[in-house]
Parts: sequence; C-alpha cells; structure tokens
Amino acid sequence: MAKNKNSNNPLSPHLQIYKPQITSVLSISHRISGLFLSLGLICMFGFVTLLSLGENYYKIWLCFSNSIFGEIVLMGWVVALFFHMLNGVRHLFWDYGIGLSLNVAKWTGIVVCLLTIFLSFIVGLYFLGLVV
Amino acid sequence: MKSVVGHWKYQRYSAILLLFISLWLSISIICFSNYDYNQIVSWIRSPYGYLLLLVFFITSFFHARLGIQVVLEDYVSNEGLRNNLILIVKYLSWLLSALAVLFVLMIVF
Repeated sequence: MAKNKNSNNPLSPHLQIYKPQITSVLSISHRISGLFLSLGLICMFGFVTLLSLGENYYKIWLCFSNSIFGEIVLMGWVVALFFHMLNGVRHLFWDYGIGLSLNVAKWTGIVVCLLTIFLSFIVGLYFLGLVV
Repeated sequence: MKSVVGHWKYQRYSAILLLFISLWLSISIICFSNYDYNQIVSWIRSPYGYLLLLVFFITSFFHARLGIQVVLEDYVSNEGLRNNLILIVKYLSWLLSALAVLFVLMIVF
C-alpha cells in the first residue's frame, strides 16, 4: 500500500472524475443496459412460467403488462435491447479491428444512438396503437 | 469458465446467435395483435417457435452470465466476495435456463 502511494503510476480513470465522452458514456451504457436486460430475461422467464401454468395464471402477466409501471418497464427493455444489440455489433466489428480509430468510434457511436432512438420510436408508436 | 480466451470467445459466439434470435423474437412479439393466451400458446407450439425459444433462453442466460461475470470482476474488489458472487450467478443462470426449458416444453406437450 505504502509502495503504491509513493509511486507515480497513474490511477485508472474512475467514472466520477472522468470527463464524459460519447465513447466512454456508450461503454458504460453497454454494461448498464446489459444488466438491465438480465432483469428483463428474468421477467421473460416469469412470463413463460405463468404461461405454462395455464390461462388463469397468465392473467397475472396481463395485469403487469397492462399497468403503467409494466408498460414503462417493457418499453425500457425495448430501448435497452436495441441499444445493446446495435452497440454489440459495434463491439464485434472492433474485435475484427474495424472502426477502432477515435473519429470512426465517435461516429459509429452517434449512429448507434440515432438508430436506437429511431427503432424504439417505431416500436413505441406501434405499442401506442398509432401504427398498425 | 476456466480459460479467459474461452470466456471471450463464447461471449462473442452467443452474441452473434442472440443478434438473430432476439430480432426474430422482437418481431414475433410485435406481430401479436392482442396478447391473448391461445394465440401465444399456439405460436410457441409451432415447431420453429419452441425450438427458437429454447435456443433463446439457453443462449441468453449464458450470455447474461458471462456479461455479469465481467462486471463483477471489474467492480468487486474483495476477491472472496467476487468469486462467491460469480459462482452464485453461474448456478442461478443454469437453474433458471433449465427451468425455462422445462416450462417451454410444458407449454408444448
């Protein structure tokens, strides 16, 4: 510990003191959306469980999905899924060494955000019954 | 997951698989006109319906577990606690995906 204190090694960039940039914000958002989607997966598990128990139990699901809280959470999972999926494709390209330069990473980040908003908007309109 | 490279690779393989399955699943869910019981059950009972749903549950619980493991490795500094949490997440994801498979098959048969 004392040794660490005396050395001039730089500390890792902690989130609290790190200037937010689109690349860093998307990076942490990928993790947060992933964790949030894990909750969604448990919710889907609940959906299949209730479905397998029969029609009366399935009504419990409908109570949840038709409530304001349910609708907000479900829509949140739609947004998170689109974001995680699109940003995941960005990560897969990086794994092949494509798009790693700072400028390109910035632009693909912006594209991911815009596509997420666009696709979520369309699904949102559909769920509101405005698009058939 | 013993090998770190294995973890890395499986995370990518499952991601690519999930990319297609999640798209199919989202579109299917959006295509339900009203979410009545019989409609959803008959959708699951169609051959590609339940097969893809089974693959979806197994792959996504696996992918979620790998992702949560990386987050735990990065943010939990206490080694004992970290390893225990990783084990809990691992067994929980196995348990839930096994149960999910069971429930989907219960709907089909």
